[in-house]
Amino acid sequence: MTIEPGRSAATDAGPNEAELERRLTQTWSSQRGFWGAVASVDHKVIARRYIVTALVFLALGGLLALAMRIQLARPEARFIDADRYNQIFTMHGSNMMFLFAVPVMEAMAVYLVPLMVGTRNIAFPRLNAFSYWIFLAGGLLLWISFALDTAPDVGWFAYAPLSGPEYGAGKRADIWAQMITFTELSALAIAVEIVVTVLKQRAPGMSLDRIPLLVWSMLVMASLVIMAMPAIMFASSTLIMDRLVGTQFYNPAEGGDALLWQHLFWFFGHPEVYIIFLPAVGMVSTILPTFVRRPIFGYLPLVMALIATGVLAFGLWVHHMFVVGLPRLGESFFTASSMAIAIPAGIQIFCWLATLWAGRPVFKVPLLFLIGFIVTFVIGGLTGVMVASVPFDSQVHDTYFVVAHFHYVLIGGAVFPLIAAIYYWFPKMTGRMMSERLGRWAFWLIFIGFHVTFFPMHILGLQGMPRRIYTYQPDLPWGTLNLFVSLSSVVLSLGFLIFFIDIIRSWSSGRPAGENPWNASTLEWATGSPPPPYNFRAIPVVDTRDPLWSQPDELPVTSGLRSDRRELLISSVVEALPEARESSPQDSVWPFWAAIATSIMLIWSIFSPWAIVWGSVPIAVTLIGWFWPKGAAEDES
Amino acid sequence: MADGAPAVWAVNMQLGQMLPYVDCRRETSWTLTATFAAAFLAAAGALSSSCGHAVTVSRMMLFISRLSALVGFAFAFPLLLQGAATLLLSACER
Repeated sequence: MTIEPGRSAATDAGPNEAELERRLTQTWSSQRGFWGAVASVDHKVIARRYIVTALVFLALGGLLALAMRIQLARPEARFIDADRYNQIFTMHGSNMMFLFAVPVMEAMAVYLVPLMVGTRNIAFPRLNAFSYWIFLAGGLLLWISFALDTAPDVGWFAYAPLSGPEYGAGKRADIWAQMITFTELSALAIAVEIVVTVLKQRAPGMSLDRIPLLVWSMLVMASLVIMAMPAIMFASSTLIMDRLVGTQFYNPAEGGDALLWQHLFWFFGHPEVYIIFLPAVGMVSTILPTFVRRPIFGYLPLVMALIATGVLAFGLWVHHMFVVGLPRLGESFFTASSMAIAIPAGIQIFCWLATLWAGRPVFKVPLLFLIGFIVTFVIGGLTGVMVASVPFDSQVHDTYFVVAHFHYVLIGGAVFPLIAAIYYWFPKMTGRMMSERLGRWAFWLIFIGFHVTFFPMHILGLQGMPRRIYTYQPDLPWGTLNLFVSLSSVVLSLGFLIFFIDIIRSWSSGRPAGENPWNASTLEWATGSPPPPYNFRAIPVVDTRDPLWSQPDELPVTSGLRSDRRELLISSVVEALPEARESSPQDSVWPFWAAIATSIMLIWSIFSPWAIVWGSVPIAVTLIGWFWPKGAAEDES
Repeated sequence: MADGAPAVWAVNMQLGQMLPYVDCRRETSWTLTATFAAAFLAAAGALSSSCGHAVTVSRMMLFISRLSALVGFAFAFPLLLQGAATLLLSACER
């Protein structure tokens, strides 16, 4: 960046605090009104949208689960017919994985990572805005198709040839495949932003060994997204080509391979579990120290566990394919890796237990959910080691044992920490506290409701009840347990209902939170709650892992960034030494239009291959508008 | 050096999908050899990293070398398990 000779730029070094805040607010705020909101590239605004949208999808997915439980409560029930049931279980799985779990974790990263590393906005903020609109379009596509009774009915992993042209009539499988393209595109965009933000925008002094564990976890998660998601995007695109233009990727009769689908899907699908779980590890490792009043035990082993889990996640995919007839020796390699991943998972659990043991726990709602997480996840992890064994997995494959296992891992391993995180960071996001009383009700109902709903499914699976059946005969020994599970799911739903009520109620009339209501140690609490548009009046300087505990009175800061244009501090990858000042893009409505154009092209391409040709023209136009230099200060290098 | 352990493990995972077919057809032991070689490399890398921090003065390099050692051991373990599997299972078994 250059400054014209004889003219001094306005920086955050000169004026008094009030004047500096006024200038920064003017520079970083979005315009008022509808188009101002659409054009906003503030990471906090976009993350809040993401989180709210993902929670809406969670509620909708939960309603689908309740519908399935009503159907399965009694043998030969006629509440839902077979076709609708197929759509519902496909919608439930796809919705929860692609529209709730991954997006909500990435949204937490979009909100928290820039604040925790001490920067003023995420890297590539316009791409961030684009990713939200694309995600929303993908979600709407899926749910509108459900409303029109044309939702996908091929399961959340859409195995070929069931999803191929021979067996999957109509456009149902195409809608599933294109929804994948939407959501993975948005996930990839966010992943790139997170990686760059963590590696190049950390506050001075935040070297690799001082990065908060949540930020480490989001960095590993984003790396997993970048490596895993292209596999599923390739799979979904080739499936659409098989269905639309007659390619034969998955047709063995013409030289294709149906197993290729399973390899591609699970090469993505298993890391997907860790894409959801690793952010939860970061959340637990960040929240726990606050409520036991001591630093986390075992920072280095926890970082190692995050990295090792992230890499090992790519060597487990065949354990979803143990019954397809691969060589036993090859399968045993995946058994070994699947069991070995228990080592980093165990290290994490022991580090958290040691932190609890050595601290003085304060049993607030977030800590209750963390303890619930540890209990539930350990059970899910143990059944994970069981299904990693080929002989055992061959017996329980595609039964309710597997359903129970992955709900223990996903709800226990990700949703419990997520709820803890929402209770913990809600004051930061809204400036208001959530209710402690309602939170305790929600915890006990969700915790008890979860276990009485899902634990009996292990037994149902061992009794041979297959997944995805829409009904069963009365003479089979599953009726009593299914009725019990269905009744228990009401308790679980009640817990979630209270949680949602608490969010809505607290957002409008919760107790004011103040800057740091939990007396936490990480940088996001070093600014207002909710944070101002510019995040930090001055960029903090970090010299410990728990900056707000080691320097509770006044955090050292650096100055020199301009206040009359959006500017970020760029730092080195390892030591986080300041390297440069970089402009950050202004608000723009073009990402919204680019997302609309991309959505039209993707949906159109379900029906005609020419959509790729003609649909690319409006996308090109919107991208030209997006990148066209406007002569603003932010356009300077 | 232990930074290479994940790569060694990844390569061995791929070989584990290919070599059993060769071993079964030609009655060779390539899977066994490759797996134990990979386990040795990962363990050696981890040991070398753990010895490395005795001569490191920089705080960051100490952190990185300790991290590398732990990661190296974390990958040597599944490789050893895989090696054990090659001793127990026939490459022709389905």
